[in-house]
Amino acid sequence: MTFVIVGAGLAGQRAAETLRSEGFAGRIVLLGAEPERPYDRPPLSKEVLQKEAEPDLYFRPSDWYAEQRIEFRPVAAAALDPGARVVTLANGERLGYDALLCATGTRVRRLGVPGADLDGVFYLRTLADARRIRAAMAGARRVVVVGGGFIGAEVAASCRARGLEVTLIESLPVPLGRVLGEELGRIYAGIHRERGVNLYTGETVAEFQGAGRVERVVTGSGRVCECDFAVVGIGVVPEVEWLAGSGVRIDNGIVVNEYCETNVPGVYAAGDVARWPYRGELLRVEHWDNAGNQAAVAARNMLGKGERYNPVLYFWSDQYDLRLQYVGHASTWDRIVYRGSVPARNFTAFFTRDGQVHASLSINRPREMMLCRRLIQSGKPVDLDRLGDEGVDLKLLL
Amino acid sequence: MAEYVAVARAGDLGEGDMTAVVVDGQRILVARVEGELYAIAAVCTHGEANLDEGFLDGCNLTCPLHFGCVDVRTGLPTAPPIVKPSPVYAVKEEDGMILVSKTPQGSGVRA
Repeated sequence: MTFVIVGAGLAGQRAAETLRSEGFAGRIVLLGAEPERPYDRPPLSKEVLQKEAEPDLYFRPSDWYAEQRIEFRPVAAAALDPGARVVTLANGERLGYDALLCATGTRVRRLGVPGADLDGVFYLRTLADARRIRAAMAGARRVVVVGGGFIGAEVAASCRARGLEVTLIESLPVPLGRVLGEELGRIYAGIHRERGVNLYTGETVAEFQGAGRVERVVTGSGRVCECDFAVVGIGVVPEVEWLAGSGVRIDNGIVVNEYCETNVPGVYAAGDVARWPYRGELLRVEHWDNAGNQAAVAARNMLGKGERYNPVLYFWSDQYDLRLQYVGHASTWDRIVYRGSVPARNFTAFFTRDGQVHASLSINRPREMMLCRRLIQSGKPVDLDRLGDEGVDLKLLL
Repeated sequence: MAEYVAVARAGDLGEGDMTAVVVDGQRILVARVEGELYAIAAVCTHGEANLDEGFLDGCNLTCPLHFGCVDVRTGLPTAPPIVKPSPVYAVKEEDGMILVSKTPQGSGVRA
């Protein structure tokens, strides 16, 4: 019995670990598109850029793979033939499988403006990318960060921590607005400005200029931002081209059901590349927690366990000395209830709809995480006034 | 013999409670589960998080950052992403005080 896992990020790693911990004794091949063995990505925009020494990001020591009889191979998949149950690798090799997990994740979206290919214009997705940015930070004075999503906001904060002058350019009215909404995005705009970031919102990039290497960024409204290097974080696209012609259903990612199964028998998907039904809505989630948990469920289902994936979603983001933790998922809400102090940057914001909490965002309040999770999982209506009252123990609202 | 240091009053740590103390610059988590005291390193072996800000359910301690779990009695991981055992400190109660060893007495010690 051969199980092939395509993609060696968190999802691929967790799937391989789960197969073994569940007692699968067959062959496991773990294919990675990068030369590195599997490693953890969240520190790339934080610790890797901030710390003197590069932290150890690998999930497991190199000899672990042989011990577990997991064949990690740094070669990408190029094509899939589900009829023959064969995956073709980038080196032309053909590999048969009994079950296959697609965990290829995403790649960065590129900015198509003049000068975007100049030296010193970086993107951040891989350890190699982070090392290039880290090297550019040494001796640099000014950076322009394009995109005020989570990657851009974290890179901006990391660059400030290293004493760089930072200009952050976001096309929406607020940073982090796509996920957090305008109200919380405004709070984050304030946080970045307080920490000395030149934040331009509602602003685009027209051109990167420089003699071979980027020296300045010209914005859509004609601002000129001088810089020693630039980092672009404008989102990612699912890595699905290798499935072209395979018959696997693709629609902004690989479409799977709640059991992580694609429309093709024996082919599963999990992590950032998978789009799946979450409470009636097809979602593709680009967060660490989902990648690991969904992959573990997919692995168990490859073993025939028939487990539904029904999570409470979660992500975190560290910017400056502020730890943001977001539980649940809310694309719309009618009221945000605050508990704690927004000016002191120590609060939880509950995104509520019809008196029910759909998501919560906490800043520097780790102790509330489990309670927030339970509150959202329960789906029970809550008294919003008591929810916002610090004098009322959250446990009493469960 | 382990060298102990008093870190808290025994009466301040009830059943199912945990607290963090600092000994020689090391943050140590002390918990009382079913009457027994346990002490492990308070900093998660996986991410940059304080386990004492997490959630203790019986002997199972959940990290507040990535929801990995560790057995507070042994320091052994019980749920990913935690894979490395936590250093375990010796702990005892004497004259109404809780004392912990100044250095770890093992890592991933079975109770």
